[in-house]
Amino acid sequence: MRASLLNLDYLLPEWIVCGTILVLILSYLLGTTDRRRLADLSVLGLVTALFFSVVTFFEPAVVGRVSIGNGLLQVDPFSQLFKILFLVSTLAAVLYSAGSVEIHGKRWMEFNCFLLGVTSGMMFLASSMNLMMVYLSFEMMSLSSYVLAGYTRGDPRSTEAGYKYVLFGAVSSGVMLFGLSLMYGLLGTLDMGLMAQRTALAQFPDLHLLLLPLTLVFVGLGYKIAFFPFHYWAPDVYEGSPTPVTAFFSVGTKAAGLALLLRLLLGTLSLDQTQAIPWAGDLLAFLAAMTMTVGNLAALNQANIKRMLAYSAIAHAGYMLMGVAVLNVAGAEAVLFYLFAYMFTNLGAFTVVVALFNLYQSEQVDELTGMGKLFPLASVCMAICLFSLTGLPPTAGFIGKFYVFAAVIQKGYFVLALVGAINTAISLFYYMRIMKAFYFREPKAEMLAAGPMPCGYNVLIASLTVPVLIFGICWSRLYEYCSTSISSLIAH
Amino acid sequence: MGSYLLTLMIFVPLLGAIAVLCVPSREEKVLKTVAASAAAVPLALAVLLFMQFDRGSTAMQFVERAPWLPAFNIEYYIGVDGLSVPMVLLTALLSFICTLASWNIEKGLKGYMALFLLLETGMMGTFCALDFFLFYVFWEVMLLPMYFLIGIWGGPRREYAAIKFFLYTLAGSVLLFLGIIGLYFWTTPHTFDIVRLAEIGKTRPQEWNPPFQWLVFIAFYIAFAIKVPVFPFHTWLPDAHVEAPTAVSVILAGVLLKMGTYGILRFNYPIFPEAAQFLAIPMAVLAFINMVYGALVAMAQTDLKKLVAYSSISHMGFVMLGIAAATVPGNPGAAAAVNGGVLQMFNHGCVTAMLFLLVGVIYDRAHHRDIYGFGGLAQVMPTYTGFVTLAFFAALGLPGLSSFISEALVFIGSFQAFMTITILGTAAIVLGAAYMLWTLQRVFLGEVNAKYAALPDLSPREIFCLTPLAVIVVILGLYPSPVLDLMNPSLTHLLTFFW
Amino acid sequence: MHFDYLSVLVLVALGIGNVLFMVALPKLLRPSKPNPQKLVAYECGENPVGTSWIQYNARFFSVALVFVVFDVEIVFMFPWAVVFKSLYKTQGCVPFWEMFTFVLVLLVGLAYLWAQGLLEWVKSVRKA
Repeated sequence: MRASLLNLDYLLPEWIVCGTILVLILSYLLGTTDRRRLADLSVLGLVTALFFSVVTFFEPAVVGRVSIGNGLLQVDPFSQLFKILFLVSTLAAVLYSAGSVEIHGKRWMEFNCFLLGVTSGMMFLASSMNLMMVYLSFEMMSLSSYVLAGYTRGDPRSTEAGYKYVLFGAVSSGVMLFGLSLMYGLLGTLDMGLMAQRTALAQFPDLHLLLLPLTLVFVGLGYKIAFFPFHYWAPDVYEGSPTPVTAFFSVGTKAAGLALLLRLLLGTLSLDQTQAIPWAGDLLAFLAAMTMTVGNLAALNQANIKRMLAYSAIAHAGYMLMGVAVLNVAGAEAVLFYLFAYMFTNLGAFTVVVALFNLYQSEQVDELTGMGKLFPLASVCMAICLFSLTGLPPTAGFIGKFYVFAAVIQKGYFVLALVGAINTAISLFYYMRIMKAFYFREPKAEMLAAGPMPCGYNVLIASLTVPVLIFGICWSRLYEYCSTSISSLIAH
Repeated sequence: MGSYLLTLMIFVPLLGAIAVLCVPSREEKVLKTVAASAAAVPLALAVLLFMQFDRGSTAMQFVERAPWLPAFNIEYYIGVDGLSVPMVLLTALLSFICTLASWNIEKGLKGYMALFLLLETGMMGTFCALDFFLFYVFWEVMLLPMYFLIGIWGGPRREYAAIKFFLYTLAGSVLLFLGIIGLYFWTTPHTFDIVRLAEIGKTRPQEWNPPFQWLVFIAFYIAFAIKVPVFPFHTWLPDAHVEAPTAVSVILAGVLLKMGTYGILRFNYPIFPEAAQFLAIPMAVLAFINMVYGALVAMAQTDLKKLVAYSSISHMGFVMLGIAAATVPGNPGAAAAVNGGVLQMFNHGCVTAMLFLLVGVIYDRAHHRDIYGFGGLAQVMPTYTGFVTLAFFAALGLPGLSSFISEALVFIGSFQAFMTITILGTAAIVLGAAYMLWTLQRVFLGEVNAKYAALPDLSPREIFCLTPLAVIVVILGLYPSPVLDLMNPSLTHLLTFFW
Repeated sequence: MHFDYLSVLVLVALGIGNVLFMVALPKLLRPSKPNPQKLVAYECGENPVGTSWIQYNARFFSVALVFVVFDVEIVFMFPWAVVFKSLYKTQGCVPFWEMFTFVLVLLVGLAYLWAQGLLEWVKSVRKA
């Protein structure tokens, strides 16, 4: 093995993201206040980071897992895949905010720095192999995201969102920290790589003991991913935050939470140990069922499109949790695939919301009527995204659901599968309310006055929707990547 | 092998849809021409298929298969047998006619045509798919355009009707989906291959243990029953049919309803013959309820389109009865029953399409469909009246017209299996005759309603749409063997699953 | 059962017991002479001026933050400085550049604060 310190070059994507923050501040200090320029800079940084994440994903050394900093971090296909995911969603958020009317010109640079701060935190989190590092990167992600949630200071809703997010976030990370420290106490190591070996030893008393720390950590993550019963902050925060942030939260932080959850459950303990923890699977299955049911039922009557998508995000967390609950490789692969599908889909849908908000300053479903006529391309893409969120073929969302359901049925959780299926039907109703407004109703007179959709948004919407369709028809390559990632994750 | 006939048939409409989207919406003529030619190609191919189909064989023909997702054994696997060819033919014919029938759509013609062609792709794919996963994909793809077609171009309550249709069908589909995945993992090696699954059903039905078999059978049955629609699940139908624009009603009643019964024959029966046999009586009872209840409710309608919609429920009951009777052990009329059932699917498709087209014609002119609001139209619109009379008589099962043959076959076949139900079920025919004739009398005979004295008769385009259907109705009434010969071997083969 | 953990339980019990004991004992022994002066907040012997619920100037926070940042920086730099000589022998200039990067990051932050006018106690009109 190469000396740990020298492996730092595998963290190139992280360095680039952190460097971009510095470059942004410096260029601002040197007088570049133009939002356009700054956006170009951060997009450049993110795209380069994305490029290197993709490159490292395929690097043979990475497939064999590269340890960095004496085991603090580990670069493997699992972490790289998640980094790609984070970077794409950040990229989308940066592009949203570049044209967003919610984030004012002067402070756009700061906003962007915080966004990149969250991203770098998430990227480190995906690579963390040490409980200390886990907590550090988790906090780095959280602290920046609190600021983002409350970014529009003048807006009471945003302030409320920021405040709520801080309070719940602080409590949850405290609980998680307690869980992590209990884990350390039980296993005597912070190194997640060693934990599997320790638990496998004959003298390790009982896997029962792990249930408590894992539950506490799960509570902490549950807040981030918005699982039932830790979901109640999500609608307020999602509604109050500036829309680009909402889009980012609903994908990025959720993915980060799931990355850690998967690594803890499948990467830290060996699979048969995880499966041997009593009740773990059943408990997760129960929470999954509750999460999606609560999310979907609450979404039914929402008039605010952001709030509706917030509840839908909760429901999707439930679907993903279904895949986690089976506690096996197939389930984890399904979750990863689902996450990818969900990312493109949800970001695509949010792009339309952002673009329409910029034009009309409205996020009420009933006010956005007749959009199908005014903005044909955006509306068709929205339709595709909503179908994908519902899980109808031929979209990526369907394939994601297929994998999750397949894993669940294979495991024999028939009731869970049934609940999931019923939820799919329920979710259709509220997604179609948006379609109803867009297509079945005529545009309001005052809506006709708004100018055309900026070309950039059209490009963004289309480029997020095209993958939704492509992965709905030829998805096997993406699935292979998910498999590679999961197999690199599994502790041996 | 080596023929891409089916693939072409499935995907030409999709290409047509894309082409339609590329045409600027001002060029209505071009739009219509592109759409009609994109729908004409599958029709031509379907006729070719009808000619080339080997009537002696029970195997799948025109098979094409290519791996799609090898890791899950998902294939692009399509083919047709005697059960699907009539359905494919029906789909191609009705789709073509409907593109012509929708030429007077005013708003958003481009979107309409594109969605319509997408719908055709979905329907064709559903009838041709031999891989369960592929089938499901097409099955759902069909839903999406349907939702928009009803919701955007429908009548006053279109939003309600569209979402109701969508929710009902999706609720069924997700059950179907779970069933498909369950079935996949139950088999070793895991497979979505319908032919293989049917083989297991035939040779080793003991491989499905009872609770599993029941669960999946019922999940499938509910999914398909919603589509048919079978009695407790039927409430979406009147709403959807009434609110949908004419051409969409035609497709809904003419093709989509058949998918339910097609699904039962294609999946439930061959894969789970034991469960099918065991549940024959409940299925027959539901069929009976459909027949009589549909007819009774139809009789109470004042809206012409609703009447036709409920008559569809009643007529689909005949199909259900026929296929239920086919599974009863020792029923000497099983072959007649199942042949009658499938023939009834085809015939009902043609007849009901005619009926909806005709209702659309009068609605276009008078802007209402109240049965009591007309009167004496026979004098005003003689050609129209001629077509309506033919369609009504066909629907009520007049000998010499197509439905008579299929209904007679169904009753012959089911008589020995469910004597009581069959005897009571004939009431549906009487009721059918009653409401059809009454309607005929109220709308076309009697005093000429002054308001409608100047209604123009059928236009050449409308006649062009209706004539092929009328010809089929008459020909199949006199000489049904072209279609019967086509499906008989496959259906007889299906019966061997039960004995 | 796991008696290894019994000792923890005993320790916890002893700890809680000890606290309770220390609180309860003076209650029993001391004389009770209430006096309003005794309820006043203890400010190192000075009499407090006004209530303690006053609002601090928000500027304290930014200054405090800047201070903490550099405070922590020093904490990181001390151990580095102590071993720098030996590091230099084995790894050359690399440790220097590493610390340089670290300080640079903080300096950029400081520069930004400066540019934002957060280091000026008296805000000039410029900030608009």
